[in-house]
Amino acid sequence: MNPLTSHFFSHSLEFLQQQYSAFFEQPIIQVFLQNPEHMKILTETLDSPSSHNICHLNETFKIFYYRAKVYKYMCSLIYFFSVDFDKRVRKQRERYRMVLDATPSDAVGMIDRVGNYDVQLEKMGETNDLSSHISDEEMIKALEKLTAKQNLVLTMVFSYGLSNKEIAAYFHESPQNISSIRKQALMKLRKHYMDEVYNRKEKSHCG
Amino acid sequence: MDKKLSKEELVDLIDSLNPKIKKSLKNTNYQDRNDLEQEIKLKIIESYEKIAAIEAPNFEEFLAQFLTKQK
Repeated sequence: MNPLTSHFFSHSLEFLQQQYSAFFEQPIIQVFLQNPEHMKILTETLDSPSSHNICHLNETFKIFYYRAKVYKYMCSLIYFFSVDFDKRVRKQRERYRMVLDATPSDAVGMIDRVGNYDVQLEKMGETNDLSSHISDEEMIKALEKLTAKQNLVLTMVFSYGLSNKEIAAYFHESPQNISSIRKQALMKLRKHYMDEVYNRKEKSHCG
Repeated sequence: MDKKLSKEELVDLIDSLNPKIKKSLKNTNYQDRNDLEQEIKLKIIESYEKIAAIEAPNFEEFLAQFLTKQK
């Protein structure tokens, strides 16, 4: 056994917490001891510092520490991977824009079809506002309650995938304003939906 | 209990990290979010070997490390 640590196990918990306060303030130790089971193992080990008890404490702590490290690793992995992924997708889009007038060897260029009247396409273009994408009746009612501008902003966000900044440039307003309009519109929708749909359902369940 | 993570545990771990994954989806356009979610999960599974190779000290080692650092 390590002479440094053998000294540690020969004292009571209260004494240790005073003597080694910096050690007990370590975040990993604090969280470790928050679990009552771990606390019990530690006090048992301090009561009778047999090699079996110390070994048990060591193993429990090792597993705990390992888990904590894995979690930390995964969390950073998820975060940095998502940022990287976004950069990669953006770059891809930037590089391979949709080209309308290039002619694929065997077909007519896309640009020839743009000016043509296509019933199907025309229908879609006509009604690209949000209510045409929604089949839920209550939601359509809720959308009708919005002001024209709120509706337009939501359409731009969800149908065309524009960012706050782009919409702000269109209206000559600040992105913060667009953000608040969007937030308010969503809140209105949510409120309407909660009031009409959920409350009614609850009532009908209660009889 | 085995110290190292088994593959079943890895799947449980991914489930428990689901809120974190969902949050990170906001880093990209909503058209790409499903792709990203899938890729993150794939990436975690691919990094299994790396995760299994992470070393952690036991209680005494950690204590000794701490005490020597303090001196």
